[in-house]
Amino acid sequence: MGVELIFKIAAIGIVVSVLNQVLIRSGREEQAMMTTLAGLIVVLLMMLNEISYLFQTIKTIFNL
Amino acid sequence: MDIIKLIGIGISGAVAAIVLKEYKPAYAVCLGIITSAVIFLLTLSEINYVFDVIGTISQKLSLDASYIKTIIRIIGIAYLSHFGSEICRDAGQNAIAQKIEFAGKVMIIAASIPILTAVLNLLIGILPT
Repeated sequence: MGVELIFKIAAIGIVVSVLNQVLIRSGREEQAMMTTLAGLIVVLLMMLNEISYLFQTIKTIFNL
Repeated sequence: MDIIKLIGIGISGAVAAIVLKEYKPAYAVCLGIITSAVIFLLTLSEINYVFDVIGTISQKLSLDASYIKTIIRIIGIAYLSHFGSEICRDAGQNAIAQKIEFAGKVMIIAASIPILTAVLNLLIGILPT
């Protein structure tokens, strides 16, 4: 239900950091910054669904 | 969902977060949020079970349902504010974490006003005027 999400996000983080290093070494700092931001946005979007589901569930259970 | 699996998920999330913290701290915070969310969602069935039992017991004892509802609401507020403040503390923002905890306390007091008034009315009624 969400366990694979943890490792998906970890994988994206590692891939982005490796990509970042490669781009920096090859002299393209701006693109490295862009890829980091793009990766972060992807992670945040994936996290968004899980968090909204969590808060919805909490709202129904604790009838807040 | 037994406890061993939950601890395993938590530890693997923590290790993954440490790996990511070195290169991209932002991803480590996201990982922390996701892992805590997943662990809570996996304990959902037990929470539902406990609250159902509490509900049936309170009906049997014919307690006032609104008090039980308020107690459960306060538990929810406390859990959510703790969830948010710990995540902010993970991200290194202690000031924001303090503010979230302060807001949680204020909401809890606001939620417990009806019970307080009921108790006060009860006391006033008992005191010999």
